[in-house]
Amino acid sequence: MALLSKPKSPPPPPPPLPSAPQQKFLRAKLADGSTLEFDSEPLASGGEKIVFFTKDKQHVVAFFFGHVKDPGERRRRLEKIIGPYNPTIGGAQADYWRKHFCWPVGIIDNDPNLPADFIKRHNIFKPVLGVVAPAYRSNFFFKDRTGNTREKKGRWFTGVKSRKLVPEEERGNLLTYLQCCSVMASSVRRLHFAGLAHSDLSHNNVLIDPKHGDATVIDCDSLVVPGLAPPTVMGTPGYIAPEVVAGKKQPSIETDLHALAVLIYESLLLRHPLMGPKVRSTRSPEEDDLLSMGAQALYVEHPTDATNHLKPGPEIPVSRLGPYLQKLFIKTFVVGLHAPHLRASASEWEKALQKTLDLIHPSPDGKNWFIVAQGLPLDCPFSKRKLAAPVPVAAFLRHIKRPGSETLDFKDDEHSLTVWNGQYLYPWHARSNVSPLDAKREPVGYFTFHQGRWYLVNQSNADMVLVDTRDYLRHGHHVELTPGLRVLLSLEDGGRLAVFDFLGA
Amino acid sequence: MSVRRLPVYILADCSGSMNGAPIESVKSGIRSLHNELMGDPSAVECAYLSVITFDANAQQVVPLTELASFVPPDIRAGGTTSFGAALKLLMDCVDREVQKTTPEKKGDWKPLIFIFTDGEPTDDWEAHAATVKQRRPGNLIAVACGEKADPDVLKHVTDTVLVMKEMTPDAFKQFFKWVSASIKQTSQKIGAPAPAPDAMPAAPGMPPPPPAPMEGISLPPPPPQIVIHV
Repeated sequence: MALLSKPKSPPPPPPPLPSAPQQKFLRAKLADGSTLEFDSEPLASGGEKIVFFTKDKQHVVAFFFGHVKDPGERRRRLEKIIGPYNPTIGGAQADYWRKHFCWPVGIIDNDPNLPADFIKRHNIFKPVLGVVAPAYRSNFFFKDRTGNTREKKGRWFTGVKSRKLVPEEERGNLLTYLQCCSVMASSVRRLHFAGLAHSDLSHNNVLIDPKHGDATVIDCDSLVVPGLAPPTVMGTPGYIAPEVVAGKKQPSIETDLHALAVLIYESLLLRHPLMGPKVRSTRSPEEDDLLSMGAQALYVEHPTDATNHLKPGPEIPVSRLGPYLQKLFIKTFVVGLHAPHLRASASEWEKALQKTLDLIHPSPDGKNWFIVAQGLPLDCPFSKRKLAAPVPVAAFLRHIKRPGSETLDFKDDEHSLTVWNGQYLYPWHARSNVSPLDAKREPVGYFTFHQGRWYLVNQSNADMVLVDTRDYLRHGHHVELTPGLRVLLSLEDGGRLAVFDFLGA
Repeated sequence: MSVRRLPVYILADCSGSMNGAPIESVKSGIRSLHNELMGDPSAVECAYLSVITFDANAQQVVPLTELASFVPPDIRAGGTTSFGAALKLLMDCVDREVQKTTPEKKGDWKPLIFIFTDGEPTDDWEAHAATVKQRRPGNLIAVACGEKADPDVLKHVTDTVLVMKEMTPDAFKQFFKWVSASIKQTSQKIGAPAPAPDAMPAAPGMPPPPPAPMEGISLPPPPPQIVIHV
């Protein structure tokens, strides 16, 4: 195999430079008839595109340089992505998706006025195809002393070595990483909902801002569009599903779900779920990797097969993320690792991440956060400091109506809330039919630790019910939390019963 | 468990003819190569750099070092062109520094090796070149710089030989930029499976065709100042 592809012939000598360096802008015509100006010097270049800033720096223009068998396919894909499959135009949530996707906004389709030497110099593929996309939001760039900017690729934050180079105030904590993951999961859920697969989800194609718990999915121009052939990009090593590594399948929604789970695992635990010590081949590192990530892939925290377990074991095992996420990691990396249709969906991840956010507790160091739940230690794994027990927790039960029955019946909602001083109770806690994703963030109550006792204060305009004493807990009134205390949090449809308990008591 | 290391060796000719602008260009090239790679998280995570210089002797001026600890060396030009000694030293360094995969332990990726020279070798080099070519210590790219370098000598070491006719500061700058792009691309894409070949139907009564073979690495095309020698 040739290591190098033949370059194009050299460009003509540059014109003499004036005293000050001068930016030169080129003009391109978009498929919709509008025009834009862009810097003739590239901003960056990737595997298949070379990228330029527009003159106003609000957008970037990327031209494809790799050879493809059917260039029309690429153009048709872009047309579909910008048109019928575009979540960033129309719809109530378009603004939200514009923030969390870098979605293409225009196509440059074989503009005859682009200078030939420009096309030649940058090896741009002919017929020229360009895509226009918004520039990333400013919180997705690091800025150094010299004013240079650098994209906040997720990789910066999850690599053992690269993370050390990130300024401490940018590194975030478990709370903000859960928020980043939650944004990633909902963005992927949105793509999959439309039938689209990203096909190259990786820590290079998701920018994260752990300081603010924000994330955005980039490189949305190689999506797998229903009815069109999948792109030739196979993905980024480490994120490619085992069946694609093994050459059996093409990128799809199911392979995205593997990549999404890897992204979440890496973001929360700062290690890779499949890169363990087990050696599959001593013939070459390539062959070993092909098997380790493909046909013989094995979860490093597999519950029964210890052959790929990390030695020594990880300081923070996956169980410290709480039961909801642990369950989905088993589902994706054990049950569904080689059975793609059994992997956890993006929407399952989104819900589990939201529920896990309800188990988070501030660390005694005042900086970190960690998961506190039934069966988990009260020591913060980050600060190594232990919480003063006891810690109240509420288990939520859902009200179910049985036809003909006069009594109130409840069923376990598999959702708990870990209580800390100053924590709010939100509508999605009080009612099982309210989602945190679309409800207003207006608290209906709060918890407080006062003179050695824990209290719940009702701040909603509706009554709560103290089931055991058959009393109302009215607006502005409080109740002391005691083991076994039961409070009906809302009398409305879907109202939940909270049963309190204490950890470490 | 950390990620596999990607060893990168740079073999720089520091003979007398490199004196002046060329050697300064090499020095600043290595500095900007390091800077550039430090801006790429995948490279920071896996790339390790070593610099071997050769003049009257060959010397490993920087042993294989992780990017964050790499200090660009101060190198001087003078003396002859001990190309053979450099190749021998390369093999010694690779044997000593690059970890092999054993049944117990995952080793390093195959090294990326860049050799550039501006003159005829002045020592016995043929046997060492033959060893390198036969043992293939890594993906090796050799560059003949300037008028006097003989690309056919380099062909004895590797099939991938480039020619950089002009030894201008800009040509060196472009060359190191390309080296850095090559390392970045390799550190990000190494281990990627090749795109699946066109669907090949299974013969009647036969199992489906085998999966796509693992692709080796591929590098970005070199800058216009540098041409591939065939």
